[in-house]
Amino acid sequence: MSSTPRVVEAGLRTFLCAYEGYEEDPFCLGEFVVVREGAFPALGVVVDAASGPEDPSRPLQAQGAAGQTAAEVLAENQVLRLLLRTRVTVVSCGYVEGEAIRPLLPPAPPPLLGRVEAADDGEVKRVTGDGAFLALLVASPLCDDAVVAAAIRSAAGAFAGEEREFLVGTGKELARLLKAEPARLASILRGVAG
Amino acid sequence: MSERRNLGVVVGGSLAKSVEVRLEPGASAQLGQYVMSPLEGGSRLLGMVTDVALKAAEAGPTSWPPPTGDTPFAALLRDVLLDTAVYTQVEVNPYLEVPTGGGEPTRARRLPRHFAPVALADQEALAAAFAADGQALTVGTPLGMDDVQVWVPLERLFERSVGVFGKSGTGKTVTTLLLLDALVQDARDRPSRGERTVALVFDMHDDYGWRMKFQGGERQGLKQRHPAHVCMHPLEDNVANSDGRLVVGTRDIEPADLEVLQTIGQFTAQAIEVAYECRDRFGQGWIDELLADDPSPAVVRKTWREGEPPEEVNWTRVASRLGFHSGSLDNLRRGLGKFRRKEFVQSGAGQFARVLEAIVQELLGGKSVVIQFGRFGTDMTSYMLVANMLSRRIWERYRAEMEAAQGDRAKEPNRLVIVIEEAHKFVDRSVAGKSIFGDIARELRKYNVTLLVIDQRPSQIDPEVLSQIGTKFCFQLDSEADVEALVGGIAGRAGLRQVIAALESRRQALVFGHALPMPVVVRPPELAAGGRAGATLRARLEGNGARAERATPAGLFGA
Repeated sequence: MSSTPRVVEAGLRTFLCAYEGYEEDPFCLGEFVVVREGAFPALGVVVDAASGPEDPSRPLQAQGAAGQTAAEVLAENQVLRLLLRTRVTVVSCGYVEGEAIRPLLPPAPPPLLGRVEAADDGEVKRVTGDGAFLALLVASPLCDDAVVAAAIRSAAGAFAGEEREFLVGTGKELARLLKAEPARLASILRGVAG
Repeated sequence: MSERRNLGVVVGGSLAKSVEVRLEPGASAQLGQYVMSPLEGGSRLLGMVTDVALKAAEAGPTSWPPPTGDTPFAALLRDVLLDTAVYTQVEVNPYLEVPTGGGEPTRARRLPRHFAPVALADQEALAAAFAADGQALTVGTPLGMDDVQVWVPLERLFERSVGVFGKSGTGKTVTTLLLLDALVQDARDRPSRGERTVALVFDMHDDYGWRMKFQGGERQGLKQRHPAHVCMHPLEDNVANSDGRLVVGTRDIEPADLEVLQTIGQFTAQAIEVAYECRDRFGQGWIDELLADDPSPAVVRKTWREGEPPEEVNWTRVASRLGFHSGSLDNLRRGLGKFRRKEFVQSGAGQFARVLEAIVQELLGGKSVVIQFGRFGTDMTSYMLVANMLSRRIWERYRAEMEAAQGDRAKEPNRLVIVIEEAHKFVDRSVAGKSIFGDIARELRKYNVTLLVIDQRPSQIDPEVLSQIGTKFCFQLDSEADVEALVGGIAGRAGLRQVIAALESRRQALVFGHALPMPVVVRPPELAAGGRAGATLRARLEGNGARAERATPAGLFGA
């Protein structure tokens, strides 16, 4: 990753962060990220990532010779990278208060231009351990089944050796949240089981 | 090994029906198991699992269940749904409130609060519930609690009638033998005759007298176990170890003895009326008179007292003279003829009165008596005739003794338990009013005589009689009518019906009623091979060089 993305739009439920330019390898879908700045450092789950022109009125034109890869085209046209942006949408799923990590909406949005970093395994385990984070994801219109499944899969990576217990426990929490939507539950778990 | 005791939490219910308990993940419960839950104020509610149900929080998971197979998705979905979207719930009949730290258990009048924890009952709670003062016997171990024994006070057990019900081969006979053995053992340990409870056993299949044969082999009967305290009177001749053969004289049979045999002896109602008339008119020898080919001069004289007899005297003319249809007299004579052909029935007075008196003295003397039917046991008419004749006369003696005592307990006869098999034949709806056993059941302990009935078809027993049976041992029963007859009118009977329906086919019984504070499903003790059931207790007592006045509850049947 060539640069650290920063918060460019902040809300309690979602925040948008952007890289300085075009980023071929942004945060992954479902990855847990954290903004460790502000009164209440916020944790969230990546629900979308998009790349395109900085100025929407100047759409990117297809270019490059036949047989050239994207990397070769960008290498030939360095200016292009400055005209493009990669943006990542994050749904809040918790915040840090003192020593505790609470799987709730943060009291205040993360600061604009705050640095957005990948959460470490410890932070992921603490915010996902009891499955409560799922309530915020399930309730968000930005989170479809694929996003929830990706988030659970991503979190399971932090529970080395206990993935199965985590998946079943989280699945049970999800089953309670989606008790009236068995088809959605099955769809998400199908995504989790891969 | 520590056994898992936490089961789940209370999620609903009522005192009138049952308490609903949602099981914790991984927990399981069996029908008939005891559970407990804390009540406000420090007591614990003790109840029995009467139903186990699979439930779904929402219809979805059961409408679209997880796919079968072991794919990661199927396995994950199953694990996720189990104990969340779908779960197990048990119904618990609440019975007792057991104070923590001691105190008398009382009937349950409160419920635990929502989400109160529920656990398998522990030994302390069950010991408090089934605490027995004085002599007691174990009726077995509750389901899933092999380290716990259920004790029943003997005194309380036999102060009202007892019933042992179940299909053939379920363990009725073994249990009855264990009860009788405990009864005789208890009588042996009591110095005063008046304090002893004795049994009069009508042993249809020679199970209780000398030895008992059953699917598990052969065991000692009561006479072998307690030779000095049990007398055996067979109907057959030349029976070893007998204390005197029982022979019935035709002069001993009264019309009332035939009345209860109306159905099984194929007597018409008019034939019974004829019997009463003939007994009145011809005297004690009425049966011998009727069995003669032609009316005797004595019959003629007593029939035509005020006029000349006809030239030709025959039984048709006798019937006509007495105002009966000749067919009724023929029916009576045919039936009596069948009796007379039985080996244990003899013309005249026979030895009945002497043996009857001997039996009465044995019983009043604190000994139990077994009437062995031998090959006559397969003949229901013989069984009913003898059981009725003896019981009627002994009952009358007991009643006379009680009335003579005029409330002075020291002069009252000792308590008598009459044991009958195929009880429904004696006390079914049609004959309960005529049978002496109906009277005994209804009068209860008024005259110190109670019943121990053994039967496969409790639904055939007169409900009024059945309702007087205090303690019931219920082995497996298939017929809904039989089950309903036993639990009808009992609080929580719906649950008990489920419990009875789920009993195993052998050595598993639901015991409930007067002698127990609450119903219990038990596995009755094994009848030890080669030894008597009470041997352990006796050995312990005698080994210590002391004779205890009262045996402790710790093991009438051994460890």
